[in-house]
Amino acid sequence: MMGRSRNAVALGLALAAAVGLYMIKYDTRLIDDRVHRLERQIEAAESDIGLLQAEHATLTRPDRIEKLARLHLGLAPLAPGQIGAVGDIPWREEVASSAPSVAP
Amino acid sequence: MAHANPSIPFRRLAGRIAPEVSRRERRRALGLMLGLVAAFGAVGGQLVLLGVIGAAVPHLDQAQSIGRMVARPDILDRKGRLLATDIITHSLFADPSRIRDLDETVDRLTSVIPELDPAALRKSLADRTRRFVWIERELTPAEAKRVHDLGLPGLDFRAELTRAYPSGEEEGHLLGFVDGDYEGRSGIERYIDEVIGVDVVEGPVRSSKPPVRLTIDLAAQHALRAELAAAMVRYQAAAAGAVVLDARSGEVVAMASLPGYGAGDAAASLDPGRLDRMAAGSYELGSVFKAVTLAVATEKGIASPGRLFDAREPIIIGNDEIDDPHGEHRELTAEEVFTKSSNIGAARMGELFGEEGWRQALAALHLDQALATEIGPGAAPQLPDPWTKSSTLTLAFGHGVAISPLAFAAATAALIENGSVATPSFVARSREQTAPNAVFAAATVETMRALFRANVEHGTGRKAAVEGYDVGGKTGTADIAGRGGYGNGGVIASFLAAFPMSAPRYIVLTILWEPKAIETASGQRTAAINAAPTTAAIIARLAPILGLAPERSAALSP
Repeated sequence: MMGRSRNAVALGLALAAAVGLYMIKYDTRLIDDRVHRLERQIEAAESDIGLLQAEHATLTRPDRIEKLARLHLGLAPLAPGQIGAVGDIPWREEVASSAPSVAP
Repeated sequence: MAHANPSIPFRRLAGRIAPEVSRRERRRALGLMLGLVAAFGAVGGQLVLLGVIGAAVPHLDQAQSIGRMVARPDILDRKGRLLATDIITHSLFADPSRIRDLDETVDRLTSVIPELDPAALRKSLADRTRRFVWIERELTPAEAKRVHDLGLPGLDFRAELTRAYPSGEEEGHLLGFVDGDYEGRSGIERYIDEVIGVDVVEGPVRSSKPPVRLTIDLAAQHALRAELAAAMVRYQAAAAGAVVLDARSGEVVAMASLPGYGAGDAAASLDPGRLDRMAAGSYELGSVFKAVTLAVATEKGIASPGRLFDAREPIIIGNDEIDDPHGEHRELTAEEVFTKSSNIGAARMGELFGEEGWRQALAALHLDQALATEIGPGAAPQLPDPWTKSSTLTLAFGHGVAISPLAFAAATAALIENGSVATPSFVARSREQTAPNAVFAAATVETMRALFRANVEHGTGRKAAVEGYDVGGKTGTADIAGRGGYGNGGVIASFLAAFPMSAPRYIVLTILWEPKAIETASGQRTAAINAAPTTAAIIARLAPILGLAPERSAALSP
């Protein structure tokens, strides 16, 4: 009697284990597919990022910007005389007279 | 024996299963059980392993290429701007046996990709015995999408990596190119293969390697190229080149040689006219070499302040005559030899060095060997061979020695920075502290700085002055040696500059090949009236890009 019920329990456990294993296996396959899908998406996104970075670099390359700046904005390369420091700007007379401690 | 003496629990277990059988049979049954447990354990373990690492089983897609592919790291400039990258392109192929309607396929494909030749396409697709026909390589992503959306049977894509150089300009000398197998063949691309390494990938995947960061500043590089191109037009020069070198670290911030070629353009790189003259060519640079002569003379104590060098008469040695074309033919101080660029005076100094002195100096300045950098092997210098008495004299004004401009610029760092030769580099690296191997004493460096500055203030380099930047420099005009000797061909006009002179940060070497005399310049073609102002224009434009503010001028201050 003991042996039979033990056998039944063992069989039940074996079946449960088989079903469990199958379910886990099935789940892993689904997850696996998802991983692959995501990996492909990442690759595609990385490829897009690379392409967009290349396009951005092409559009912002200095020779192109210079051409556009000259044509549309009337700009020219900076001359050293155009660079100054804030300290180079003279104080307005009244500011200078009213606040001599701030302005030399 | 494994089961000669079974442990107590097993003996009990065996007794329960079959109490009536003999000990010997029990042992046998136990052995069988152990074997079965081991076998099922192995199967179970393998199942678990497959479930866990099963993802490693290769997946093959039709859209992916089969076989080896190489992914290359990106190349960035010193501020992180993209210079070279891998992009994934799609190449279209067809399986003619699977094409249903030939006319429709040809019509619709040519409507989406206008560059296709309908007749040739029809011919290649009509052969149904073939299973694989390339239709168009490297489609743009937009074109690939349109073809894909047509939904025609028998067409498919193969994704490939393609090297793209988005910086647009002609950086072939620096970046180099890759061949059909995606292997770097010159410039930084070759350096990547040889030193950094590439990734071998299963499909078209971008490299996981960190990008290669150059010392080149793209904005400075563009400005340099623009100024050189302008100078080439203004002085009708055959070629122009310049290098901007960080005197302390040896980093090359910008270097261009015009005419150049685009990065990735393998065919143009074979054109000898497009050689990288700055690194891969060696030239007689003429009087800029007097900077080296003066430095060696100062170091040796030959050029002491009170000493006069006899430049009254031309020196005649063998068949050569050394003369000062516009000289005053009097006795000159060392400073005057430099600022008046006297060939006779320099030759007098060179005479005092002797062959041995010259060879030591050239070796100390690394001018006797080819300079290899990350962009490739440099040109080997050409020293006098055989070395004659005349060589010792003419070397003093840069005659009879051909060196690569880049190597010369690196050597001059020793004259005006801290006394040691710079090692030019194009790839940013953690500052490796090389043993300070000073060639010149601090006092010599001070003297050279003063000479450089004096030459721009009142010498041959006056046109190199830039408002707000303390520029010092030396001119050089060398006759190009032709078949019939010197003097019947063009000249190489060069200017060696450093700024700011109080603590030189950058060295600029500008060279114009075969500039023509222009009307505004009183019929001359010497460096003082072409290379010097070109250098001034380069410094004026590059200094703000490099983050150097001009010193406050008197006009601006209140």
